[in-house]
Amino acid sequence: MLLVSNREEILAVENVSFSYNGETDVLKDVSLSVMRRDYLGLIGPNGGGKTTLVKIMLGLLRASHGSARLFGISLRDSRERHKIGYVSQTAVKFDSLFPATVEEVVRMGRYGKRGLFRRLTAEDRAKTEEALAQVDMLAFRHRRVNDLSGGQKQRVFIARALAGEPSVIVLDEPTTGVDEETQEQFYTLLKDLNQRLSLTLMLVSHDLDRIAKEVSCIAVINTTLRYYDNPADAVALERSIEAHH
Amino acid sequence: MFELFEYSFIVRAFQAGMLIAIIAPAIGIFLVLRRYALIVDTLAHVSLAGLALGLFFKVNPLVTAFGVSAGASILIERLRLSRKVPSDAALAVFLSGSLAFALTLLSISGGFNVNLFNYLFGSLITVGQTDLYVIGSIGLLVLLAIALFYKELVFVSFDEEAAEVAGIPTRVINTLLIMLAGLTVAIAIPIIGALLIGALIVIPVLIALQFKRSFVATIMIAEAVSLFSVILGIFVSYYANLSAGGTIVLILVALFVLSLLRKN
Ligand SMILES: Nc1ncnc2c1ncn2[C@@H]1O[C@H](COP(=O)(O)OP(=O)(O)O)[C@@H](O)[C@H]1O
Ligand SMILES: [Mg+2]
Repeated sequence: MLLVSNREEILAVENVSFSYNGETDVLKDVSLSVMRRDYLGLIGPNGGGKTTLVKIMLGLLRASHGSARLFGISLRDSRERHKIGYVSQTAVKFDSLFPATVEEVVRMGRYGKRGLFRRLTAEDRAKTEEALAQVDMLAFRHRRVNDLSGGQKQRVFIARALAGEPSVIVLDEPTTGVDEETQEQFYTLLKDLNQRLSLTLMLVSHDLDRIAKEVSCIAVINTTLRYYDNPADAVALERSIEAHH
Repeated sequence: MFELFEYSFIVRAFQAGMLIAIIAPAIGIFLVLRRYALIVDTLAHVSLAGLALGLFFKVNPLVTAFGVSAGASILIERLRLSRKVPSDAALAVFLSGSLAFALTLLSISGGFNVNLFNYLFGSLITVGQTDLYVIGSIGLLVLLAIALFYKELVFVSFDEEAAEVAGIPTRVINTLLIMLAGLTVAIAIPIIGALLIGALIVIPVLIALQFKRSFVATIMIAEAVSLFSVILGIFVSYYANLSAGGTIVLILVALFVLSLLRKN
């Protein structure tokens, strides 16, 4: 996949390989670019390396081979990592004892931006409110996160990411363990953020057929990666590949 | 009934006790939520080794206690990150290793005397004027550090990965937290005792968590519980001639049981 495009590259990995134990490759020679305004679906089976790839793209893991970039600069040298919003696979399943209100959680989205030794300002409070309004959770700001439903928690974590004024939000299997209707509302929210706020999104999922209806492009990963500009192509081609095996 | 304040040692005990009562839950909330509560006991035994060193070389044992405790906290975090041994097992090695070191050193210097007993279980009369200065300055330092790194401590406790992606130096914050815990433990030992300090750091937080309030409110409740127990504990132990540390912890345990019952 050559980068002949006039759109700005946000996140990218190039020829990345990764192994946890030094023997079996979890990722092999993977390249992927997320461009501004993309709504990328990262699809793969359980254990296919989705979370691993995400963690490399976020700088939480370092690739054994290859490189990761943010805005065209090596991720390691980048000073703009706070422009990535991250909703991890485990975020929504956080400690059930943790005492925090919706507002306290969303405010955390401002911490990285504000930096060490700085107190939050009126601007931070305004952005926190704005983010809560964007996910329609402003009325719940003083509620404890633990008292919310799964779908509401998801919205809070999206709001936390939004509060940091990100260029891209990466969501790792956010709909696990959430009922069908809540999932639909969640996809509607994401599509809205992508289209109305021109927000770049990277959504990890194992459900190709469902995600293909939402996203603008698809990367299928199972140790190696196949990229599709057109979600419909992905569904068709992946079916025929599956049929061959 | 307040004639006890005519004794300067009891005034010092109150001053030191209240300072520790304020610091303990402020650091405890992060330790409890990060499942680091066991580290407190380990650091307490490490501090004992530090105290023994001080007694052995005849320097202020509090100073050696917090030196050794701060150093060990960095080692503990390193060992935890290296994943060479399970982290709870690493703590066990530190715990019994430093207790063994303390006992050996104390037996060489001829003294399973009253000193050791006081440091294990706490005592009101152990707090000298110099101790108060040491406790005061280290205590303020710990509080200042918690205030300065409050945002980061909260974020890392709640979601370490997201915090790291947001550019928070999570390793520094983790090490800082354990160092602050080490310092808190070291300065709390003369009053509460090495074997009981874990209770003061952990139990007020556990009680506050039962109220299911916001993060800030939880800290405030824990602070109130801690101050109440320490003040009441010192009063009761003075008049009833009981161990101060033991009395304080028993009050805390009673409040904890009440807080659990209240919920149902
Ligand atoms: N921390 C880890 N240590 C060792 N192996 C791991 C670790 N995390 C994941 N793996 C392995 O790497 C592979 C890919 O995992 P992961 O990236 O989590 O896949 P996915 O997110 O697609 O389900 C799996 O085989 C998994 O068992
Ligand atoms: Mg995964």
